[in-house]
Amino acid sequence: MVMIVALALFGLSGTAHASPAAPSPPGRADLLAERLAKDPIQVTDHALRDLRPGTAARIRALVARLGVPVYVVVGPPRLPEGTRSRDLIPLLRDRLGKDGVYLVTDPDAGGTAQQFGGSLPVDRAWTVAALELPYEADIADHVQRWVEILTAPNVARRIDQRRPRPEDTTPSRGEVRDRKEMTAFGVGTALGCVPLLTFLIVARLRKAARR
Amino acid sequence: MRRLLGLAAALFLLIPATAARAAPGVPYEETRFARVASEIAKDPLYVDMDLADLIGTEARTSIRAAMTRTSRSLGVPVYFVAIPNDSEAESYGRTGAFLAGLHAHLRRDGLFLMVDARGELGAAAYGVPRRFSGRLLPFGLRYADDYDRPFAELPPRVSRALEGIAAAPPGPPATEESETGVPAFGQEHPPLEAEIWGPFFVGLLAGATIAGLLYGLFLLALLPWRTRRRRGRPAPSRTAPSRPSPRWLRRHAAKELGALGAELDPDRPGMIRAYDAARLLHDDVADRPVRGDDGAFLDLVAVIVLARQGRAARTRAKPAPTCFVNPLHGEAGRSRRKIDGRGRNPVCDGCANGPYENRILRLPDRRPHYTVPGRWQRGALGSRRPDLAADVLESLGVDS
Repeated sequence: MVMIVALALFGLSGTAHASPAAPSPPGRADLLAERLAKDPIQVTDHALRDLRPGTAARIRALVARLGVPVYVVVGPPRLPEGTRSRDLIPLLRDRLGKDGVYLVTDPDAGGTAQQFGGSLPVDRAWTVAALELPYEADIADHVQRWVEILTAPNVARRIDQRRPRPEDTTPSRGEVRDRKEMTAFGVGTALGCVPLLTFLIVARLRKAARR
Repeated sequence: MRRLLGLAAALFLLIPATAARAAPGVPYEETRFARVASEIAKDPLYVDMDLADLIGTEARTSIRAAMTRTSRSLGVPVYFVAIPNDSEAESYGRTGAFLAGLHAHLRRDGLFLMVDARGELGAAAYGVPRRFSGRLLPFGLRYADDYDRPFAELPPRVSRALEGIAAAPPGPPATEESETGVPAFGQEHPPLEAEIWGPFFVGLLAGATIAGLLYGLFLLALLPWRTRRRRGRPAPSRTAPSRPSPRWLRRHAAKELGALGAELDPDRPGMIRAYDAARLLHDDVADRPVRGDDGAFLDLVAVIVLARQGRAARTRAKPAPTCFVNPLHGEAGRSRRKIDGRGRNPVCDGCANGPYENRILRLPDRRPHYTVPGRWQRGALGSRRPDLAADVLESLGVDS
C-alpha cells in the first residue's frame, strides 16, 4: 500500500523527477503550491461558464469562518489516469510545508478535503455537503454548506443527520418540450373529436325529430 | 372559421419565441483572454500552468524553433498557446473562438496556434500574407493519434502544421479562422425544439377516431329506446308489408284464398260472396304478369283483403272498413286520420298515432296505393267503401 501511494505520488510530481538528467519545468503540484503560497484560494479561470464572478472572494470569506488555515484549489483537476484529487493534496502539503485544511475540487464539487494538524472530518463534511445540495448548486454554495457543517455545534451529529437533497422542481428541457407536444396533440384531438361528434349527433337527432 | 384561425394563432404562441441573445461581453467573460494576451505579448510561446508539466523543456525548444522558422518565412509573428479549453470555458471548447478572442485582446496580427488539454490543435491566421484554401490544419494534424498520451507527438505535429501553413502560395495579407461563434453564457442548453404540427395532425386523426367510437356508443345507447318505441306499435309484420313484392302478393293471395275456402260456411252468405269475388278476381289475375302492371298488383291486394273479409264474415254481418294507410293492416279501428291531405280516413290502431310514411302500402315504384288511378282508387281498397265483394261482383256483372 505504501509502495503504491509512493508510486502514485512519484508519478504526480511531474516530469521533474522522471528525468532528472535534463532540467525540466516544474510539475503541476509545484506550480500549484507556488501559487497557494501567494494566495491560499486558487480558483481556475478555465471554467468561466461554471464559476460565477466573485467565486474566489466568496470562498475566501466563507473559509475564514473555520478559524484554521485553509488552502483551496478549484480547477480542472487534470490528473493522470487512475489517480484522484485525494492524491494531489499530500503533494501540495509537501511542497507548501504548512499545516491546515486542503480542499482540491473541480467546479462541479467532485473533490476531496484533508486536514493536516487537526481532526476535523473535512472529507466527510464535503461529501455530505455534496449530497445535501441541489445539482445546480455552484462551488461557492458547496463551500458554504461545508463550512456550515464544520462549524456546527456537534459536527459528528450534523454529519450523521444529513438533510435530504431538495427536490428538483424545474422541468427539464425534455419535459418542457414533451408538454408542448402533448398540448398540441390534445388540442388536435379536441379539434378533431368535438366538432365531428357534435355534427354527427345533431344530424342524428334532427333525423329522429323529422320522422 | 374565425375561431379556427384563433386556435391556430394560439398554437403558434406555444412555439417559444427564440430567446433573444444575452447581452454581450460581461467583463469577467474576458478575464482569461486578457491574462493570456498579456502573457504572449511578452513571450509568443505560452504554456498554461495546468499543462506545464506535459510540455517539457525539449518540446518547448523544438516548438519555439519551428515558430521562429515559420515566422521568418511568413514575415509575421507566430504565437503558440497551450491551455485547457473545455466546454465550461468561455470559448465553449472551440479553438477558433479562443483564438479570435485572444487576437482581439492582443490587437496584433499574426499566425495563432493553440493546443488544448486533449491535445487538439487549432490555428487562426490574421493578416498572414498567404492565399489559403480551406482549413489551415489538415484533419489528421488537428487531433492527437494517441488518445492516452495526447502530448507525446506534439512538437512534430506543431512543426508540420506550421510548415503546411507557410507552404501556402503567397498572397495579400489574409484572415482565416475556424468557427468562432459560441453560445452566450447561460444559454448553452437552449430549449428543445418542440414538434407542433405533427402531434396536432395526429391528434386530429385520433380525435376523429374517438368521435366515431363515441358516436357508435351513442347509437348503442339509443338502441333499447328505439326498440321500445318500435315495440309500442304493432309491427308491420309479415302479413302486412308496406312494399310487398309481386311474388309475395301472389303467394299470399293464394294462401289466404285457400284458408277461406277451407273454412267456408254455406250458411254465411257474406263468406260465400267474398269467396266468389276473391276467386273471380284471383282467376282473372292468375295469368297476367304482375310486374309492371299496377292493376294486377292492386287486384292481388284486393284478393287478400277479400279473403280476410270473408273469414271475418263468420262473425260479422257487414264487412268493416280496412286501414286506409295499408289495407293489408286489416280492419280499421274507430280512429280517423288525415292522411296525405286526402281527408279523414279510417285507420287501424297502429296507424292512429305517430309517423305513418313508412307504413303506407306502396307499389314497387313507391307510389302510395291511393294515388294509383283505377277501380280501387275510389274505395281505397275497402277503406272508404268496405263492401269490396259487392263492388267486384257488380263490376264483373255477376248477380249477387
